[in-house]
Amino acid sequence: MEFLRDILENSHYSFATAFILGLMTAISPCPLATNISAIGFISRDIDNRRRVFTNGLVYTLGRAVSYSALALILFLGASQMQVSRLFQGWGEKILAPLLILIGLFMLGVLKFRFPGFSRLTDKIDKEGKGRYWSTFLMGMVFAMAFCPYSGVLFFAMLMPITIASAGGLYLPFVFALATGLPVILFAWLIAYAIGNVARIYNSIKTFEFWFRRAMAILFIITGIYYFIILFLLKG
Amino acid sequence: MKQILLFSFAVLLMLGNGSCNAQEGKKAEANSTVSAKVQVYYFHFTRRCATCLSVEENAKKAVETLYADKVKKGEYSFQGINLDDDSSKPLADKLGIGGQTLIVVCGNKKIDITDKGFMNAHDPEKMMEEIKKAVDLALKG
Repeated sequence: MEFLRDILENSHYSFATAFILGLMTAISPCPLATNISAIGFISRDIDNRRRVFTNGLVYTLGRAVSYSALALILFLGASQMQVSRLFQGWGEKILAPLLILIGLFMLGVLKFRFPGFSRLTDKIDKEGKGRYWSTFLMGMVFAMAFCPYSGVLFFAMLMPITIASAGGLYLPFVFALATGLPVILFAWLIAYAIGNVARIYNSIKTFEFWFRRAMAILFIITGIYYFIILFLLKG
Repeated sequence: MKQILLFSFAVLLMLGNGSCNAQEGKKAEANSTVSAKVQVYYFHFTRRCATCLSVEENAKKAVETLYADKVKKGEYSFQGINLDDDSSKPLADKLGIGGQTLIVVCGNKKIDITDKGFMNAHDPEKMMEEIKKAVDLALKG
C-alpha cells in the first residue's frame, strides 16, 4: 500500500492516478470481504477457466458501469454532497442483507418465484447468458457498496479529476479495471489450482458441487460479518 | 465628497473581507494583532477503517502541536464529527460535506484536504505539513 501511495504522489498522468486508486481500492483491507466473495462467485465455474476469466471481465464491466454512471450524474450537475452522502452512508449497510440473500440463493434455500423474475433467477444457475448477467449485476452492486476508505478514494480523489472536464469521464473505467484486476487474477488462479487438483483425482464435478456450496456459505458468513461490524459493534 | 465617502467605505469593506473572519478583522484592527478563528473538522461515519482512525489521530495531534497556544486560547480547534449523528447535519449541510472529509475552515474559507489527509494518514510529519499549508492558505484570505 505504501508503495502504491508513493507512485500516486508522483503520478502526473490522470489515467495512472485512476489506475493506482483502483488498485488501492481493490487491495485495501476494508473492501476485502466483498472482494473475496466476488472471487468466489467468479470462480464458481472451476471446470472452465476461460469462463472464469470472462466472468471476471463481465464483473469488472459491471463495476465500470456503476462508477461511470455515478461520475456522469455528478458531471451533469448532481450535488456531490447528496450523492456522496447517500452512497458513503448507505452503500455498506446494504451489503449484509445482500450477501446473505445471495448466499441463500446459491445454496438453493431461497427461490424467488415472482412473475417475470423467475426466468431471471432460473437463468442464474444455468448455462448461458443468465450467468453473465448475475455476475454483471454483482459487479454493479458491489461497486456501489462504498467502504469508509474506498469512499474517500472514489469521491475525494477520483471524482475531482474525473468531473473537472468531459475529457476525464473515461477515468472511472480505468479505475474499475484496476479494482477488478486482482479479483480476476485470483479467481483465475483459484480455478486453475483447484481445477488441476480436481483433475488429478478425476472428480471435477464433485469438486464443483462442494466448491459452490462453500462459496455460498462464504457469502453468508461475510454477510453476517458485515452485519456484526455495522449494526452490533457501534462506535 | 459623496464619491470619496463611498470609495472609502468600499475600501474598508474590502479590507474587512480580506481577513478570513470579518469580525475578527475588526478586533485585529483595534488590537493591532491579527487573530482569526480556525477550525479543523474531520467528518466521518460511525464505522471507520484503520486509516480513517489514523487521519483523525494525526490531524488532531498536528493542530494541537502546531498551534498549541491558539488551541489553549480557543482560537483554533480540532473537532471530529460523526455524520451518522443527526446533530451533525446543520454543520455538514452548511459546509457541504458529503462523506468523510478533513477540512480547514476559517470564516467563509474552506480548504478541503481529505485527499492529502488520507494519503499521509500514517505519517504524522507530513500530516503536520499539510495542515499547516491549509491553515496558511485559509488565513491568506
